[in-house]
Amino acid sequence: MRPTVAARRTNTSRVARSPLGLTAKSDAELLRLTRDRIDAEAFGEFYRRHQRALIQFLARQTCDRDLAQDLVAESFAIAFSKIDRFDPERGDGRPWLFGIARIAMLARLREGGVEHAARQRLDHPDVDDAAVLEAAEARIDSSTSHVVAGLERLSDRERDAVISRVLEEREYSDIARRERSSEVVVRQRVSRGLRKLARVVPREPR
Amino acid sequence: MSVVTVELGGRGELATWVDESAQALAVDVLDVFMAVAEETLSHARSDERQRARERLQDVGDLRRQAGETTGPIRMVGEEDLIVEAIRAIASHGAYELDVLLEVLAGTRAPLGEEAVEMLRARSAAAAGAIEALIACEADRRRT
Repeated sequence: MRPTVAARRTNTSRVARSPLGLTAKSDAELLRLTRDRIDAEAFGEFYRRHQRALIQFLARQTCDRDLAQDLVAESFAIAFSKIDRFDPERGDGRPWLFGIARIAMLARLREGGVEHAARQRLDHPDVDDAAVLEAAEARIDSSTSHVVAGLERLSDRERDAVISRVLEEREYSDIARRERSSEVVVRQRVSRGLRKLARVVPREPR
Repeated sequence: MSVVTVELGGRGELATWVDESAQALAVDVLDVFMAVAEETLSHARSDERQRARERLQDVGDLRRQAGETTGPIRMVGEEDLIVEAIRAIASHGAYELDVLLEVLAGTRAPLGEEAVEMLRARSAAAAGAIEALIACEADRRRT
């Protein structure tokens, strides 16, 4: 029997809360563990630690939450691919990450948002990420027809990511490999897709 | 102090030199520019793909110019892109200097030799990039 979304969420949350003692490590240690391929979970912990602050920073800078979320995904993906360039002697991981994000923001804004302008713009409520995802997943369990309609509103990549992760229950790493992308980017696509679905799927009666 | 010169080329091109102290800074910034341009190309609609491809090519050219030279970096390219890149390099240089100063401001001990050396290096890199930016902008105003 397939586990329910709620059961999967519980399992995922438990794993996320105790990632092999990584929560006690400094940013520099996490990045070193990632760079030296010692611990595959280290970058995930670095992501969890700074993702929210980075979204807030970029949303403030750009006044555009959609763009900020794109930039967060890009920034973590760039940080991951350029991890050899991180030098703890020059500063901690957070300013390094935020520096990358600042440059990405400048580049993206100057490019005129080629991708961004092509997408449907929807306002995001400024609410807690975990709560939104939880609510969206709960509604997805019970509102299939609305979900099908809602999926039409997602970009191709967001739709593929949500279907692969939530409906087909594939691992992020698996999806990333198939898409030739990074796990961070895939996680952001799923997160963004679920947020959009959360707005079109009606709430369950209480 | 860095020396920056600017040449105006034909067809809206601009050539500028960035002091070698800012080379690592320039490479870091242009690496991110390239990653963003690659991401943009991978998501571009068919009618936007050509523009995105040209942008990636131009940024890639600048990245090679910054990474493959020794001594002052000569950057040649379309004027708007050069100025955009130099502005971002200067901005990142100022940010890196600011981050270091913030860390140093939080310590009470006298600055060690390493910290002073790092301050000098970052200060020189930021100044080099800012000089290049000023030279570019001054030249654009003249034309």
